[in-house]
Amino acid sequence: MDIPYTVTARPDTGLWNAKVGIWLFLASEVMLFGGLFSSYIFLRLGADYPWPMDEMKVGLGFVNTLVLIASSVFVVYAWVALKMRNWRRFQFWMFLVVASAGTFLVVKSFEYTAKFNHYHATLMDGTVISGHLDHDVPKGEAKGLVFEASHAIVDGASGSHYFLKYLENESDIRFVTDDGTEVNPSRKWFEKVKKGIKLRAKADRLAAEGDTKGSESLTAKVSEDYKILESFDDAGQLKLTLSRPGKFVIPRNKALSWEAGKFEFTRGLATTLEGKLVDATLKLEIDELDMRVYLRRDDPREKVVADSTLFTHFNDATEGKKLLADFTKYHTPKVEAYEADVAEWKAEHPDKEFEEEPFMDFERVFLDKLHAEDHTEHGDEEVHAAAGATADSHGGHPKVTIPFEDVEFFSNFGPRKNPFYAIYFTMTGLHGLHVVGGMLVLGYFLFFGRKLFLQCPEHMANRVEVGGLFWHFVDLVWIFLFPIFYLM
Amino acid sequence: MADSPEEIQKHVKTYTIVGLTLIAFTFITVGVAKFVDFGSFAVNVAVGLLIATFKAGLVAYIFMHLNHEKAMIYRILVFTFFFVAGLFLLFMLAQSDPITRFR
Amino acid sequence: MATATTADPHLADHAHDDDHGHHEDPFWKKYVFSTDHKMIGLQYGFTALFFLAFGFYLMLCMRWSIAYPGEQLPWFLRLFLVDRFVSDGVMDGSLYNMFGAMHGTIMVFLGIVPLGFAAFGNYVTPLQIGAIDMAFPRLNMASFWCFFIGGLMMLGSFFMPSGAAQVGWTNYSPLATIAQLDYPNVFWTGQTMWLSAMVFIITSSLLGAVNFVATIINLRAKGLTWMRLPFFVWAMMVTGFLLLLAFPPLEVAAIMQLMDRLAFTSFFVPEGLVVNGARFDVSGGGSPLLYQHLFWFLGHPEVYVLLLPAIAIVAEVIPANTRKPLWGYRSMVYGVLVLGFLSFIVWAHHMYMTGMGAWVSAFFQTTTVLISIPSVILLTCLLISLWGGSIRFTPPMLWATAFLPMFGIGGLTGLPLAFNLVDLHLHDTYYVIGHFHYVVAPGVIFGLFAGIYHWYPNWTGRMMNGVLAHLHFWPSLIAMNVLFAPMMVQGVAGFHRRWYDGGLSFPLTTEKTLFEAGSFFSNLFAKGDVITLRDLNVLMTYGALMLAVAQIPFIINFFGSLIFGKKITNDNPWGATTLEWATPTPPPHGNFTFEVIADKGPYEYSVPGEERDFSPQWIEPDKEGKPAKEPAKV
Repeated sequence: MDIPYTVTARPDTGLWNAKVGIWLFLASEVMLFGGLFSSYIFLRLGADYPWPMDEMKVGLGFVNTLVLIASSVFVVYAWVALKMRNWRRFQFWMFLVVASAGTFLVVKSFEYTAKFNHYHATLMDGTVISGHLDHDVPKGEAKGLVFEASHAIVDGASGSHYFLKYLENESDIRFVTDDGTEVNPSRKWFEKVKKGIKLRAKADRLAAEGDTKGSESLTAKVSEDYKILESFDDAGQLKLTLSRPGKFVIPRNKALSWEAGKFEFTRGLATTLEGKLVDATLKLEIDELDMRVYLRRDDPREKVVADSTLFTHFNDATEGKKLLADFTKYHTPKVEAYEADVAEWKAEHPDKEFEEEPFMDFERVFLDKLHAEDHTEHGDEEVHAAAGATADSHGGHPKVTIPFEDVEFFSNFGPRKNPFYAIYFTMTGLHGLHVVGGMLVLGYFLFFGRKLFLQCPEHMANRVEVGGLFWHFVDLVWIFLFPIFYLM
Repeated sequence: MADSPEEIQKHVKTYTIVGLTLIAFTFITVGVAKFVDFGSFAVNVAVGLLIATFKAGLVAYIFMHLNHEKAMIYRILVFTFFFVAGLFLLFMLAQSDPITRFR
Repeated sequence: MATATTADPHLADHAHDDDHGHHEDPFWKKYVFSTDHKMIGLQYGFTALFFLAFGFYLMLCMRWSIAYPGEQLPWFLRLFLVDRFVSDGVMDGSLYNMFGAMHGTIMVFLGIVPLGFAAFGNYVTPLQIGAIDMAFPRLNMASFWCFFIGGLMMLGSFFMPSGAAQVGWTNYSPLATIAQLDYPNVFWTGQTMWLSAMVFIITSSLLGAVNFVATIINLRAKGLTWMRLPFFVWAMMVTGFLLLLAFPPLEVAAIMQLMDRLAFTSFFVPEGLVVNGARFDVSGGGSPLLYQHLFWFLGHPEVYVLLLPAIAIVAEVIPANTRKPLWGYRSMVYGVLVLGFLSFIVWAHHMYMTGMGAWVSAFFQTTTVLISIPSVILLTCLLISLWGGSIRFTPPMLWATAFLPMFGIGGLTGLPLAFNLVDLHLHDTYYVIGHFHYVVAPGVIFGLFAGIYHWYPNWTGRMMNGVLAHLHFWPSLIAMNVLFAPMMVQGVAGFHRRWYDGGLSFPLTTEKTLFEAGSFFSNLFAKGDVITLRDLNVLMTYGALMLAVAQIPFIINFFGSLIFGKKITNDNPWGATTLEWATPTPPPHGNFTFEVIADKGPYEYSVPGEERDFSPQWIEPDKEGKPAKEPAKV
């Protein structure tokens, strides 16, 4: 029993099955990426911040475009080779296709890594800075909270995972439970506790049902753990005293709240620590500065910019002063030019009311990025060109230590940063998955297609054509992704 | 569809030329976006998208053999592009209504 | 599916006798990882029936809690409830929300779509086009297993620490983004699992849709031209396109919401969202409206994905039982094409309340009113098909006839909702619930029952019992109306759909007098007390329970007839004309025993001059299985 029209075309439609199938599939892919592109437009139209295209590395995107276009040509060559029944030549071209796909993914991974290691923060007063984590401090401590706990309340069922995850040095810690036993809070111990909780619940249920015998045997079975379980309260939480302060390093976004001496984390009531908050600061080496929020006011700007809390947080106060001076020197003429423009406009249109553009105009008004270091060395003209260009160099960037109370929001340049990065990572990520998928399928044809080629070369050619259609589509999507994320 | 080996061999040259054109237009895309200003943001975007559409069209038309495909495939695609257009236009419309729109 | 193995083994063996050179597949290949479209259809069918029953159970619990807020559920509902949901047997608000969200999700995505489109579509479509199988049998299997995994994930989410999703079947952001975030591992919460399961279900639907459309385009039998396709096949083709093109935007939405929950992006989170008194620690700047657009871009075509298989089944059942061609076959085909087309540009009528501008509202209002035209064409054609026919009220015909008025009510009550101004009043009230349940429950499900009764002999070689079928039909019909008609009354009065206490805390609305004390009805039902709007809750709950009881004869009939049903004496027991009746019963792997050639339209009943009152589409084969005569020129 063979399905008809797998190799030859059906006379009246002129198509073989897989070709109909792949085009239908591509139609749905068009809708998939159509939905994403449409969301991109929706998010961009609704954005009240400049679309941060200039933060992307055009060079990498450009290289990737070339790689994909080349691979698209190769895949056609490979198909032609099969139509000519030339397996060797097919292998040659198909190998190049798969290699190009690999190159694309490698380039992409460099791009992603750079973004994930670059951080930015919005301060409470609206100042925006970006840069890298302070290299002299462990990564977790540079962006997290450091807490020294003397007491802990751990949810036996679900709190232990994060409790151990954020505990700096597992083996150093000894807990003293309520009945005086000293325990080491290893993963195993918590597993045991979890199991004990379950068994105790079962024993309780059996007792409630009147099965005292079963209940007692269960209780006996867990007698060893049961001692520890005695110290759990009704909610299944364990109160522990630490025999010496335990150091916890907790990511900022996992922390629910902290008051003097008391700390809750993991977004729930899973774990509460009591002790001392040693450090709650963000430590960055800044390479970009955005004072837009100050520049939009009508007051004399220099004074207000100087009010930014940022300048009080420099590790080296002189660096802060120098930055402020450079900044003022750079932006004053620009602001004056803008003011002049506005005045001119107002003179020309006396009957209209002036509305300040909510979207900033980089060149005229708001100083988008001031490269602190390059400014003094190269002068005003090159400030813009240099912005971001030296993002990878760390030497000489002023270090700041900002308390978390002053930070409204911070993240790396990952999807969390803003909807631009969210849609950038989602779309390129999905596209990357398509590349991986295409690579697998075409790689399968390359390495395991020989048998089918010998049996029925036309069938093999059809398969490669279908795979090729998919591959061209992946290329086609990238042709749109490149300009909308990197250029426009 | 040109299925005989001889005819396909003839197409190889076309494929090469199209590939080179695509690469050339990639340079043009970047060049235009980085160094040429057409006066307004909207025009810049429109030019960029036009170039991208042209490139995508070449890929679809030549590489994906839409230049000699069967009627059924065109029918499927026409439907699809209609709905994609709906997806784009109506989303944008919903954002740009003159009465409720913030801008 | 273990239950799928209940197919009569004798008949299966018999079929294989005819199929020389065919070796018996091992059990797991034949029943579990089968690539045969009929087995996959059955797998879909049984899974979907299970989910329908489960969704129905969730609804019973909800209805009870609406009628008797704060009271214990009765024992037969508590039976299945795990202690950790309700230790004292009383539903609280969050459990109600969970059941509500999952009732909708399960019924729509795991019940009706798989039953209507996937099960009937898989079983019947290749048979009706004279194909030996689907175009891509292994893809078909993959599609079922994707669906199955998605279904298991949905079910599994009930047993997570957080319980299942709770934000309604539409899963609107930002509520869905922030729900259940206070669990240590956000990935293992019901809300996230809902999204992951949806990705699987959507993938399954996409693969299925590709397969269906490709099959219909490329595997039609010789002579079966487009205008000779049975209406069912047309409907499947349109449904396939709807799924193919409408589901991807929902997949996008699901992926984005997953990102929002797991990677803390802000696709659907507006600026400055405050959760539990604290600023929600994400960048903001996204748009909740975007989610609604993406969701309803699927959501509305999805309505027709639910509806079209049912209409199509009815369109098959009616001609076979009126012995008369389908009236206006061509207009029905064009109607269904236009319907599919328009269904893509009406979605925002679900979003009038979001404050879209007048222009956009007017656009969607217009398209929404327009789409009622093809719907009415379909219904009218079916109705006129009854005219002058010698109707046999066989079990499938009962359901098919009842479908017409029920779907009519559902459709007509939808008209007011199409208008922006009226909708602002009726939005999220029980009127809306009543409207779409009339479409989906007595409408679509009646159609699906008609299909089950209609094609049961083809699957098993036995008829279902007629008495039990009547016992199933009449109580169901009454119960459905008792259950859904009062919703309209309540809805117009402003009853909100998400009051888990049945409006107890909103007496101004819910205790409006319906019948004065001492009036006829109050004497009849309430011992002379005043009957308020809220008292209708009790009536509807009893309607729901009656509906549950009414399904018992069906279950007995369905499984009992496998063994005790009357054997059919020929392969075409209804005297129908379409190709699925040209196969041996049950159809073997490969379906047909002769080369199928079609030479006429699908509904040639009572053709003057013919000796029988039906003229099948296929040319009867001679003894060698070759067609006896050449087909007429196409």
